[in-house]
Formats: sequence, C-alpha cells, structure tokens
Amino acid sequence: MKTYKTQRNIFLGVAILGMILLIIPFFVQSLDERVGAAGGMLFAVGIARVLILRRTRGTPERMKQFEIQQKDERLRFIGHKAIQWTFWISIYVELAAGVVCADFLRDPFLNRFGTIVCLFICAQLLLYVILYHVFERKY
Amino acid sequence: MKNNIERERKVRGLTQSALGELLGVSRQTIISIERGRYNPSLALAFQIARVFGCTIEDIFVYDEEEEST
Repeated sequence: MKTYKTQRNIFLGVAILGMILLIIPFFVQSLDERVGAAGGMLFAVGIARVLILRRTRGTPERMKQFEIQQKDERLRFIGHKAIQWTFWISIYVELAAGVVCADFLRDPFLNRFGTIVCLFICAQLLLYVILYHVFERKY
Repeated sequence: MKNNIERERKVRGLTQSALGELLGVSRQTIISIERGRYNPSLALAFQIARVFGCTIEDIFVYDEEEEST
C-alpha cells in the first residue's frame, strides 16, 4: 500500500488527466464526446480522492493512523485473499456464462460472444499458470 | 494460533492501540491476533516478542494438531 504523498500524487495526476480529457473535445471537434465524459469522470474521482486524503491530514494522530493502516500486514493479507476469491469466482461465473452463450443459446452473436469469453478464460488460466511458475522460481 | 499477547500486554499496562502503535499495526490487527483469528508474519511475531522482552515461544503456542485442522 502506498503512503499519503504517493497516493495524493497519483490521484492528482488522475484529476489532471481527467481535466485534459474534459477540455480537449472543445478544441478538437472530431473527438468523440465520450472522451469528455471519461475525462469528467476521472477528474471527479481524482479530486474526490485527493479531498478524502486531505481529511486524513487533519491531525497528526489521524495521519499516523492513516500511515499505519496503509502498511498494516493484516489488511494487505485481507486484500490479497479478496483478490484471490474474486479471481476464482469470476472465472467460474465467466465460464458458466461463456458455455451457456456458446452452446445453449440460438443467437449467432451470443454464440460467438460465448466462444470469445471461453477463449478469454483460457488466456487468464494460462497467465495464472505462467505466473505461478515464475513465482515458484523466485520464492 | 493460541497466544499470550493479551496477558503480556495487560501485565505491562498497554492498551491494544498503544501496542499497535509500537508495532506499526492497527488496533484491529492486535485484536485479531489476540483472538487467534489472524496469525502474524514471522517479522511481526519477532517484533511482538521484542516489545515484550521475551521469546516467540513465550508468546505463541504452536499446537500442531490444531494447525493442521
């Protein structure tokens, strides 16, 4: 987990990028309006996170608690566990959806979509196996 | 994993918050460790033992049968 300054800089960067994307469509007419919408979203998220972070600077006590929370090993463990479970639940849900779309529905578009989803799952699992072996050598 | 952290902490007059601050972890982490819901890393276990001025074996009780279930 990153410290206060690193997080603040990241979210400030996100807000600035958002502002740029928000302004560009006014000068470049050929750009899709969705670019401006995405920019507005990034700007809002970036600014909101910076303001939330600023609240933690209120007192030295709050700042200290914030820094401790960022480095706390139990919270990191919980985060990793959540990501693990999310990955496997997503894989099974995607697989179910992909198989149903590819094999049981009569719409050709959905059949193709289901096939693509199943191929995507294969790529994810292949990536998992590769990373597993990489980490096995490292650790 | 069973441990004697709560006993050692109270003997030294430390609150969970104070112990957490000394170790650089949150109060919730201390609570979870004391209740045996979370096993600390080796590094944190060493830090806990150092704070209390004793060995890891004095603080943590390793029950092989319990850990395997």
